[in-house]
Amino acid sequence: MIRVRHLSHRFGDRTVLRDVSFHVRKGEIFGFIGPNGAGKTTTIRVMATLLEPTSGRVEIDDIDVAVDPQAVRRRIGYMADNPGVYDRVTVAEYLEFFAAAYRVPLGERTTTVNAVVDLTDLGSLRDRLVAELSKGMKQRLQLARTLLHDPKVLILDEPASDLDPRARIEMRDLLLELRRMGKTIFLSSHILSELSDMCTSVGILEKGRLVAAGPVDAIGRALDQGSGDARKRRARLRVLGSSLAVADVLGAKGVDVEILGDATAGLCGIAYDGDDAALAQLVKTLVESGVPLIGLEPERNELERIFLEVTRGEVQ
Amino acid sequence: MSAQGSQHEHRAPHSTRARPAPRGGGFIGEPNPLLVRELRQSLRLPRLPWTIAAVVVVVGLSMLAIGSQASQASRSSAELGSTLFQGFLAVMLVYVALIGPATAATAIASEREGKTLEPLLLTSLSARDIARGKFVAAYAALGLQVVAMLPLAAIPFLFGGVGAVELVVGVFYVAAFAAAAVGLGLAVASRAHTLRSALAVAVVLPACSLPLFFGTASLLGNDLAKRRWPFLSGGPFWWSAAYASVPFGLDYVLWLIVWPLVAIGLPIWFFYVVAAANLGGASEDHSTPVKRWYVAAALALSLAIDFTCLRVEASNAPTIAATGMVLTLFVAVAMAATIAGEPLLASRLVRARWERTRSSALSRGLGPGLVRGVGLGVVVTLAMAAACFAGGTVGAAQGPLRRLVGWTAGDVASSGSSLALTVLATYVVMYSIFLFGFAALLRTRKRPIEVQPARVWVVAVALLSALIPWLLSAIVAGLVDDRSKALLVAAPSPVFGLTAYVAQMSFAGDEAAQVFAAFAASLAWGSLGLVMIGVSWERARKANAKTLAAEGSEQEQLDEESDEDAAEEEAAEQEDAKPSPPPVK
Repeated sequence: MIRVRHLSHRFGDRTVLRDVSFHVRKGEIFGFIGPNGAGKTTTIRVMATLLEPTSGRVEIDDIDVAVDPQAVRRRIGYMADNPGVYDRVTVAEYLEFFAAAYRVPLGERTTTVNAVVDLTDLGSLRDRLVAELSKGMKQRLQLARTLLHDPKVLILDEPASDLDPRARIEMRDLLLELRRMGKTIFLSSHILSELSDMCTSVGILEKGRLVAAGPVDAIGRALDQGSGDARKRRARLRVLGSSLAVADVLGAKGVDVEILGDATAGLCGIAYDGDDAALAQLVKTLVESGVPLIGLEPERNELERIFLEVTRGEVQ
Repeated sequence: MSAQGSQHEHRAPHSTRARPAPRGGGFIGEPNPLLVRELRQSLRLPRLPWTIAAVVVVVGLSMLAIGSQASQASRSSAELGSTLFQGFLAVMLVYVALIGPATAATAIASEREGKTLEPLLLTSLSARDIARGKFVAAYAALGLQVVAMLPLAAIPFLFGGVGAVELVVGVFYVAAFAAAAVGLGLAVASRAHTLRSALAVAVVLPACSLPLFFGTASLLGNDLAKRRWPFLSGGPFWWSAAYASVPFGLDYVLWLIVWPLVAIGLPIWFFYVVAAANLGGASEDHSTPVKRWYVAAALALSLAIDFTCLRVEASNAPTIAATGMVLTLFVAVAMAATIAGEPLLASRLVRARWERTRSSALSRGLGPGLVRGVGLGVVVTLAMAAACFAGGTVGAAQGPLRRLVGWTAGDVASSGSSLALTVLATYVVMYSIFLFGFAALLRTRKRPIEVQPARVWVVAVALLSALIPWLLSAIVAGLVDDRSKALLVAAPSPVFGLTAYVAQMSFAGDEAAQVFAAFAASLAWGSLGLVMIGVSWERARKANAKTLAAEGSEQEQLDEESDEDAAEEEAAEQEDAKPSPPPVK
């Protein structure tokens, strides 16, 4: 759906993107990560047809963005980082304006706006002036705007920036819902934990170069293979009673068990070889051994680990 | 949205793929959505009614002040009414000249600063739709204020001395001037990056231009109009009375319809075209609309000049033609400054669009490209100068064409004016070729200059080459005895050609020496220009060939990779489609 090949871009004498190539398949949520100044926004603006690439090709739905930007614009919904809004209009008027601007036929406009308002839970705010909305609501309104013309691809530059935790969770749920509806989503963010929750693939950019791209698991495995040292995965367990029982059962299976705090608290961390299937097997072993397991939390910082390993912390 | 998922069923947005823009743009059957939104926003401003009330009060008080002064000098109420009307027009014109650009500038620059312009550009609205919507919205906002002040125009009407036609014409011209002012603000703001810079230019530019406008159109125009129509009454804003008093005929059409259309319509169109071009993406075709304007402007000006040459007395026809030559030079300077910003080659987007739409050679000729731009500039300048020269020559002679236009032959112009006109025409054409060559050379430098500085360079060189020879001439005049010979040092200045025309080739003494100096200088400019055009042409050709070759090889590489990726995906799909083997028991 999105194919970027050998994309390079210069601003005057400064090269901000160097030979960036990646592919985002239909229905994926692709997370684009990188430090400030890495070139994420430039890449996104090229994809959104706001910049012409210096060299390389970017295709969205098999259309070259540099050759037919109008056709690409009909297929994408773009939300910039900290976008502006029109203050002295209501939410409904704002969406009706953009529906007209996207040339949604007049007879279908009200239905379309209602459907988008429904989807983004803005129904109770229809008649409120946009200036009176909170930051989170404005972001949601921006997302609603990008959906009016039913685009195939959503390109979102830091959609959750400056949002409070609740608004961030709601934004994440909305994006997952949009994915279920068949949209392909390309988003950039600094918040790795959220990206790891919802992204099917990621791309990591540093100093204008793409240093890693693909599914998180695959990147992790590639790194482990490359380093020659298969790193153990971690999880946290909570059991009723003493966590020494976990150590007895799993220790025999070659699993490293670390008692966290007092053993009677029932909390421990484990380090094991393998993937989720291996973890499921360990859980089965504990249950069959009669250990009263009441909680399991797999490690969530795989993406953070990958990010720290592939980047050097350099900025342009 | 709750963290656990939606509480109610979410329906997908109604599958309404937005349709592509209809040919010709615009919204048939419904207004431009930008216009609707802008009006909604401006009408919701709490301070709007207070602003309008304040403006009406200030204008009313101004008229009161004018009236109280005029009543002391007026001999009758009709005279007082006429004076009040002139005062009303003056205040209205100054108001729209200053507020109009500021209103329009705010409309665009605030979108850019407020980060709402990009989402707008990504909709199906074209840059022209946006420019049109902004123009009409700003014009409507200004119009609301003008309409609020209109009742004040009834006061001079009640005093007498001002008829209904004058009143309507006066207000119509205020409306037309307001359109030009709004267009200027739009064009300025479409380039500005911040609201502050947009407002600064949008206010300073008209403020500086107002004295020029009042000097030419009003005071000079009033003087010329009263010479032509001695029965004309009224002050500096003479045109209102002219429409009511002048009998309908060819003169009426020429001076009261054709020239106002040209003088006001062409700038409005230019501002709109520039605004739309600036709002488009960097790789869009910014050249075609502007070049189309230049061609139309050259045609309109040439026809107006020729028409005028045939309508005035034969002795004045060469002067009108000379004025046309000066206008030609201004057009050439403007075109050269535009060419200084031309890309060497049309972008991939434009070339692909040409292929897709099978554009004609004429369309492509008006499109982006340095060589095309220079060629068009030379053709336009040549055609305009030739038209002016023909108009001046035919207009100065007796003949059937003059009788056809309904003017009896008057004094025939002297042969000296023909020679002077020839000198002036040669200067204009040759100097224009130099300017085009210079602009092209700036674009094809090894280290290219940015667009704006290049344009400034072109205008600066035009000014300096006009002034410096005269300075040198003044210095030489102080060193030699025969001052008339020293004046020949100023021959390289394009102003020399105009000055020589005005003095009918007699101010520098020996006519042959003047003619020789004039032709030698213009030949030197033209030759220099042709050399620069040739060098730029070759550089552009090589650069374009290199660019196209690089694009071609990149295209081949990307196509190969594309084929490989497609093959891989097909193989992966086939693998996925294979039924999985049954589990081993």
